Parts: sequence; structure tokens; C-alpha cells
Amino acid sequence: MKASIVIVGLLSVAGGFAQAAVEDDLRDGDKYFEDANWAKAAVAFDRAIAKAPSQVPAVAYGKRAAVFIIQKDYKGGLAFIEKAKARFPTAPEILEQEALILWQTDAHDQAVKVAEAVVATKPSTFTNQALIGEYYAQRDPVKTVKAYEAYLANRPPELESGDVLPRVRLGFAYLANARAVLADGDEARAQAYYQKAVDQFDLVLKKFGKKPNAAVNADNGLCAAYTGLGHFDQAVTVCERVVGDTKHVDSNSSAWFNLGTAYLARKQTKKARSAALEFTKTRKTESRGFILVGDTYFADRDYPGALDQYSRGEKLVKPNQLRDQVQLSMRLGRTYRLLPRPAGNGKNPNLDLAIEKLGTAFQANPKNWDLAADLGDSYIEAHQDVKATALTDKAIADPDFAKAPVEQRTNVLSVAGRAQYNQHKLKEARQRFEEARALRANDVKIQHGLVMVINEEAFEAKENKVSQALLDQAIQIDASSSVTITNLAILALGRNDCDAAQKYLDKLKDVRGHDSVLRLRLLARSYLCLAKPDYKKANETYAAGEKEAKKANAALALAEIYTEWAPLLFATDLNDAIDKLELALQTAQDPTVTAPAKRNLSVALYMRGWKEMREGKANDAANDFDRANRDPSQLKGTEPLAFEFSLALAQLDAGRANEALKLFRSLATKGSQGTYLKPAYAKVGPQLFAAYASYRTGNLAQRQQAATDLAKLQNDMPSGKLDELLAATWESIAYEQWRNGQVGAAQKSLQSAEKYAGNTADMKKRIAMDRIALTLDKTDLQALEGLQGTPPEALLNLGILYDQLGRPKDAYDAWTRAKARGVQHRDLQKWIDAKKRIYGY
Amino acid sequence: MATNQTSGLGLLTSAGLGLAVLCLGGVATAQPAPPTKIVVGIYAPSIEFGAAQQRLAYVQGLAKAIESATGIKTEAQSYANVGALRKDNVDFAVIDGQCYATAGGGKLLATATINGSTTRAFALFASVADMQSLKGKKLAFVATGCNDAGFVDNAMLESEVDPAFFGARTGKPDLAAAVAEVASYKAAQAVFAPTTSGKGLTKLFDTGAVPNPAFVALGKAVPAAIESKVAGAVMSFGGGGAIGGWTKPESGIYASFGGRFGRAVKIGTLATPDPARLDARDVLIEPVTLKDTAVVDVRHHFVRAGDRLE
Repeated sequence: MKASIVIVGLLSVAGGFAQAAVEDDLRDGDKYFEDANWAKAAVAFDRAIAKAPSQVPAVAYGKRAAVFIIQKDYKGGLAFIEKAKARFPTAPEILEQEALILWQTDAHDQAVKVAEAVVATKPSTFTNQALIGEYYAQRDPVKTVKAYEAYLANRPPELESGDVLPRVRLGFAYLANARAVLADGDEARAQAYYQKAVDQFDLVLKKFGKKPNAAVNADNGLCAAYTGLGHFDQAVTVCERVVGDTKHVDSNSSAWFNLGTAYLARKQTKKARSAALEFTKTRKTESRGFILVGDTYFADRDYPGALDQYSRGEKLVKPNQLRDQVQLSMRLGRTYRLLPRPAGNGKNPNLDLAIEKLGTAFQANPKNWDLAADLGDSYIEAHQDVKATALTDKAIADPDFAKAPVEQRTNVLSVAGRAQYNQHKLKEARQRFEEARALRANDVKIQHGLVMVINEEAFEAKENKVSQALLDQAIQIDASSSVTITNLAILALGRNDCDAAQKYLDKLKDVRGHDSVLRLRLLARSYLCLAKPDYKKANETYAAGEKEAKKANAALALAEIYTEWAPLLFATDLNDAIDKLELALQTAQDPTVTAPAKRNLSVALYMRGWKEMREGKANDAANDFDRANRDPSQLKGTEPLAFEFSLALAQLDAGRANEALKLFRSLATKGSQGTYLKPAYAKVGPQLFAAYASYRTGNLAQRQQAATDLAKLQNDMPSGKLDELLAATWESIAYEQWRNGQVGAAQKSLQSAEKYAGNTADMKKRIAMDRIALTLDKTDLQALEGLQGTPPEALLNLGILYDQLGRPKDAYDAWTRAKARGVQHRDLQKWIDAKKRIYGY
Repeated sequence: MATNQTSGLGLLTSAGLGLAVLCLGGVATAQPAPPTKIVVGIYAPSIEFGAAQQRLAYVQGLAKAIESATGIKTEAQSYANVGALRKDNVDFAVIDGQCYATAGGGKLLATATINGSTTRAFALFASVADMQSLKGKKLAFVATGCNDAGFVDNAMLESEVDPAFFGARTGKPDLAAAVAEVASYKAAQAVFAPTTSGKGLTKLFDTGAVPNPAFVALGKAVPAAIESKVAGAVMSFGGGGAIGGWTKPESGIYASFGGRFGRAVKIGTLATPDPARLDARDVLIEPVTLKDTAVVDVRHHFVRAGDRLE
């Protein structure tokens, strides 16, 4: 390099001219100088100086000094320059040579001092620019850039072949500058520097690729520059080329660092970690290698691993690496926040450590808004919302905050909004989110925060209209917010505007992330409250909702679905409806659900109770009526009285006369029979039900008394039902008498029964059969056959006649049919078995 | 009654005198004098002794055992019908289970065991394949003279078969003869016999158990002590042959079996009354509010961010 500077120095001097007074000598000197006849040139210039030193221009002195350099007479040269400076103390032509001689004699500091003075007055002095560039290449990237850019701009084209090192150094200086401005947060300038570096290294590769070390150095530089630019694919290509070139090992290992960074950016964390670890092997005292390794663990969500590496890096950060310190603190803070929470319910010490790290960093860098956002986030996570608010308020009020990048400002404003929300200051929260949204209208997180705040305002609004207005604002901000659309549907359902609700719910179907169970559940409901309810669709939609709820294991939603769906099944499947309501009550705890579920269950049980009564399942009916009446708070109007009365009747049917009578008495004391009993029954209620109870559950004497009592009511009741009761009472009396062996009395009772039986075909058949049975004889065969198995006991009696007539097979068949029809007789099975055994039927 | 009564004191030979005196003083019951001879008869046509000689040999063995136990000379007699046995006034008798169950008589001292059991399972055996095929055919039975019709129609056929079902009935002196009537002579087509005695006939159905012969005391003049010794001797008698042995008296099986000889009459039944019920539609004014089923207030589904925005 020294030689080259000398040569270019000579060329530079060769551009001068001769003084007229001693012009001959000077002309000779110039000629010899141009001819590289250094000795004669020296003689000619010395002669001119000796003749008329004042007429010799500075440029000629410069040339003479250059000859000293060419002849490597540095001492003589300096002595000559001393003399020359007496005449031309600031002439750049002379000082340029002095700088060169000083450089050649390794007096670099002096040389650069002189050179800087030279280029200050004559920037085009490329020799001295080169010298300055080389000098500052390891010291000051800004000065390096300035010097080399001037050198390249002014050096003669024929010297281009010597551009390799200047351009390589210039490229690396750009990289250093990029990092420096990045530290100041000036991303744009950093990108510009990186791009300039890329340009330089690209040029070196293209023009001087075959020159020794040119490609190696250019690749190394490109590796860093592409990484800095974020061109990670190109970076990986180049960096891999660098680290793969075993002949030209990058002693700084910076390529490993850049390669690791690029890999990490491409989410190739394992490769990134390997590269970063390679870097740390040679750069053991640099924190950035360990930080990068930590980043790879962080990316892998191995937060303990990341913490370990960051902690190692933290020990290596130098006091002057403020930016690195801040970055590392942020990383540590984030890592502590993400570390697994230690077992137990106490305070999370990792979160405290995160706040401590971020807080310390923020104290040192109070205008680092990224740090402010991170610290604020941590405060929120630690439920220290007041601190978060204090931090963000202070940051937002800072005059420099407005100058910060948009992203940083929105981050801080977002933290501020959330902190206010968490303190339930909805107005303030909304203001912060709106400020943030003004900066970044399309930021999804900010939109979401704002929408959630407005939805919360809508929830808190006391008037439906206000809620609606707020939700209308929210939907303007995010038309596809599932939250807002859902809430609009809920408001619509709340005011029974189910057509509108359906429109919202229909829209919600296509919105990603909506609650499909809730949507179906609300949609099904909406069919019930349309101007013209669509029960079929409601049914189908509840069924679809049930399926979704089961899939999502959404027990509460399922309970709600069952609560509302069950009444639709009352007419078709009461048992299923009751099963659903019972399931709803088993799973739901919330009174919002349990209260309607209880109400619907009471109604369903009451309805099933009467169905069971009609089917003769009195015990089941009593149980259902009892359950239906268990929570009177869910019953309306006359339901409690009607339910209690129904229970009394069921108890009677189930043979629990005492319980029934207690209930009848209780009802009598409550009065109001007219509200729940039909007029005829309301009038004779106590006497009728007492007689009815005696008939249903009493002994023979009580039944006989019941028959008498019932007969007394004939003037007060419509004959139909009373006759039925009287006929049934006499029939039961006859039955008891027959069982007691009172055949004659039974005959008479049957006559009484027949008198009241009227047109009740079944009863008349029973009475007819009973009369035959009392005197069963072979002559009754035709009459019994004529009954055709009605009542079923006729079959048993018919079987007996067949048996008497020696028709065992017919007897067996008749008895088998009787058994199948439910006839209860002590010996029936024995007779069937005997016939089967003896005759082999 | 071949008894030779002696003084009651004559019995007090081996027992302690003092105790005997006390007992006699305490129970002032007159006891007959011990007999000089005991007669044991047998009428058990349902037991398959094979031949009359074997039956006699069995009862003779039994008599010998009694004589040995009582020290009183004991004779054995075999009878062809129960009437003859009763007429002879024997002191003790082995009587067929059917006869003892229907007519009783005497004091039951022991019950015979056959194959370890006091009863034998009986069945209807036939030379035809099923009951239907027996209609109008002849039934062979052991003519014991002890309500044989009741035995067939009620005890065996459980009053479930018309008495006129069989075209004819032929009584035989013993079980072997009755079975042979069907199996060998083909003179009848069916017979009731123990399940072990079918001899190549088809078993149509099981009829229930029949008690084994009873050993009864018929003589009124036998002192209780002698009767007890006789009973002990009988129960200890292994004998072998058709009767395996004897066990303590089981009067219940005879009583129960005797109860089956009467005709079971089936009595008709009245219909279970279908109770008249007060129907809700007749009695109750259905609450108009029943249609007011409840729905869940959906307001609680209002989607919120919760207490915190993290």
C-alpha cells in the first residue's frame, strides 16, 4: 500500500506547470519528471530553486519532494519539505508529499494529521484520502467512508485496478456505520448504508473477483450486508459460501454470526444455533454470539435455554454497548415473562424478574419506547395496571414520543389502552386505542382492543339504545368482528327483534373464529320468536347446536339448548324432553339457566304425570307430580294448586289413600277450587274426593259406604262421570264379595254395577263375564267364547270350560293367551305348565 | 293278635329297679304286657322284589332282626292285598306308600329308603311316543285297592286329564306285572312307574314323587318299649334287595301324597275391576300458563373481553 500511495502521489504531482522566470529549468524538470528520469528532474528542479526560489511554484517543490520519495530519500525529502514549507507553509502540493513521506516512515499519526489538513483545503488529493481511509479503517468508519468515497471520486481512472482494498474497506466501513445508526434507532439510514455496502462488495466481486482475497473479502462483506438488509435468502447463500471456504477462513467468524442470524430469520433454529455457537468459539468475549444462541432457544420456546444464554451474554456486555444492553434487557424481560410459572399459587418470581430487568433497562433508556411497551406489558401481566398507566402516560407526554416510529408509539398506546381497561376506565382506554388506531388504522390488535372496549361500554350501558349505538360504532371499526356481531344479535334477541338477530347470526356464520355453538344456540332461539315462529327449523337448529356443543364439550351451552329445545318435544316425546331438562339441571349451576330449566321440567313432569295416569301408572305419575310441584317458585297462576291436586289423585290411584286425603284436605283449606277445578267438581269437591278415596283404597265396608255417598251426589253432578264412579264402585264391591265367597251378594252388586254402567262397553263386558264366572258351567261355553277375550279373564274361564270338556289343547291355548294378556291368577301358570308337561304342547 | 301278655313288672329285669319304680309311680299309665310273639306283615306291590318268595324272604329277615332286638319270637307274613293284611291283625306291617297315604292306620315307625331316598320319582311310561297317541288306549296300573282311581287321575295326572281319556284301565297285582303288561305282553300301552322301572318304554312325562312303604305298628297291645325296640330294629335293618333300608318315620310325605288324591277343581275368576279414574280433562281446569315455557335469557352471552385485556 505504501508503494501505491507513492506512485499515485507522483502522478498527482505530474499534473503541475512551470514558472516563467526559471521556466527553462522548470520545463526541463517537468520533462524529466514525466519521463521518469528522476535524477535529471531533481537536478533541474534544484537548479530552478537555487536560481530563483521565489519564482518556483509550490507544485514544482512538490515534484521535487516526490523525487525524494521515489528515490526513497525520506530524510532528504523531509528536509527539503521543511525548506519548502518556509516559502509555502500551507501549500497542499507540498504537504501532500510530506504526508506521504511521513506515512512511508511509519509516522502514521503525523501523516494523517498532515493529510487531513491537505484534504481539508484540497479534497481531490486522492493520495492523502487513501492514506486517511486506510488509517481510519480500523478506527472510525465515518471518516473511513468519507476518505474512501473521496479517493474513489478523484483517483485517476488508470488506478482503478488498485480499488480492491479501498472498496473492501469502504464496504466494511458502511457496515460499521449501519450498525452505528441502527444503535441510534435510525433504521432507514442503516438500510441505506447496508445497500451501499452491498454495492461496493458486488462491484469488487464483479470487477476484481479474480484478484487475491478480493472475492473472499467481498463475500464476507456481502454476508453481513445482506443480513443487515434482511435479505436472508441471499445472506444464507453468501454466508454459507464464506464459512464453506476452508482456504480462506474468516478469522473474525463474523460470517458465522451473520449466517446464524439469517438462519434464525428463516426459522432454521437448529442451523442458526450451530452457526451462532461457531461464532462463540472464536468470539468468546462477545455478548452478541451468546445473545444469538439465546435467540435460537427463544425461537424454539426453550425459555430456560434462552435465559441461560442471555445471562452469559449479559456478563459480556461492555459498558459502552448501551444498545446491546437495552436489547438484552428486553430479551431477558421477555424470556422471564415466558418462563414456566413455578409450581404453587404464589407470586410469579419470573414476572418480577422480567419487570426488574426491563425496569432497569428502561431507567437507563427512558426514551426507548420499545422498552416502555415491554415493561408496560409486564406490568399488565403482573396486574400492576396503575404502574403501566403511569409509565405509558409519562412516555406519551414526552416531547420525543411524537417523533418515535409509528410502531413503537402504537405499542405504547396499546399498552396504555389495556392498562386503562383493566382499571375499568373504559373512556380513557377507548381514547388510547383510538389514538393508536389513528396511527395504524389497520393494526388488527389495536382494532381488536378498541372493539372490545366499545363492546364493554355497550354491555355496561343501561339503555338498550345506547348499547346498540355503541355496537354500531364498533361494527364500523371492524365489520367482521365476531364479538360485535354476536352482541348485536344478542341485543336484537333481547328486544325480540328476531328477524334482525337472524341476519346478524347469518352473517356470523362466515366470520372466522366465531363461537359456532353459541351461534347455533342463538339461531335456534331466533326461530322461536319470529313474527311467525318456525318450530321445525328451531328443532333442527337445536339438534345441530346439540351436536356442536357435544363436540366442543360445551356443557353450559348444551344445558341452554336442552332447556329451550325440550318444550318443542313435549308433544312428541315427553320422556326425551324430560331427559334433556334433567341433564341441563345436572350440568348447569347458573340460575340464568337453571331457573327456566326447572320451570320447563315442572311443566313436562306435570304433563307426563297425566299421561301416566291415563296409562294406569299411578306410582310413576305420583312421583312426577311430586317432582313437578317441588319448586313452587317456578310455577305460575293456578299451577301449584293444579299440580297438588293431580298429585292427590295419583296418590289415590297408587293406593296411598292417607297421603291423598291429606292433600285433599290441604287443598280444601287453601280454597280457590273454582280456579283449578271444573264447576261441578269445585262444588262437591270434598265429598266427592273423600268417597272416591274410599272407593279406590278402602275395604269392602268402606267401598259400600262410598257407593252410598256417591249416590247422594247425583243431584249435584253431571250423571256421566258419577255413574261411571258408581258402576266402578259396585264392581269393586262385587269383586271383594266374590273373593270372600259371598257369591249371592256379589251377584247383587254386579246388578247394581250394571245399572250404572250405561254405555261403557268394557265395563258391561266385565260385568257379564263376572256373572258367568260366578256360576261357571259347561253351558257357558258359547257366552264366554262370544266375549272374545274381553276382559282377558274370560280366557282363563274359557280355558277351565275347555278343560272340563276334555279339550286340553284349547284350554292350554286359552290360558296362555290369558297369561299373555296379564291375567293374574294363583294357579294359572301351574295349569299351563301341567298341560305343557303332560301333553307336550 | 297273637300276644301273650305278662306283668309289666316282668320288664324290669335289666334296667335299674329304683328308677323304674320312680317312673312307674310318676306315670300312672297302664302298659300292656309284652307279647309272646310278634307278627310282621308286608303289602308293598309297588316294590320290585322280583318274586313273591323274595318278598317273603325280605320280611322274614326283618322279622328275625326284630326278634333279635326284642327277644320275642317274631313271624313274617306276606299278603296279596291290603285287606287281607288288615284282617289278620298283624302287630307290625310294611305297607305300600299309596295305601298308607290314602288309608293310614297304625302308628308310623319308619319309612323305607330306596336309593337313599324316602320317595321315588314316578313317570308315565308308554309304548307310544306321546300323550296324544294314548287317547283311547289302555292304561295298566297296580291295583292296590287304595283309591287307585285317585292315584291315576289325580295324584299322577294332576286332574289335568279327562278320566275318559284312556279307553280302558287294567289293574295288576304288583308293579312288575303292571310294567310287564305294557312292556312284555303289550296288553296295555301305558303305566305309571318309578322312573327307574321303565324297562325300554318311553317316558312321556314326570308325575311327581311317590312315598316309599311305611313300617307301621298295627297291634294296639304292644308296649311302647317293645314298639321302640321294633322300630330301632327296623331302622337298623339293612336287608338289601328292593328296599334299601329304613329311616325315621316321615309322616309328612304320606300326608302330602294323600292330599293329591282328591280331584283338583278349577274355579273361574272374576275380572279385575278397572278402576274408574278422575281424568285431568274432566276435573281440572288446565292451567293456561302451561304453555308459558321458559327460555334462557341470552344477555349473559354478551361477549366481553373479561375483566382484563392482557
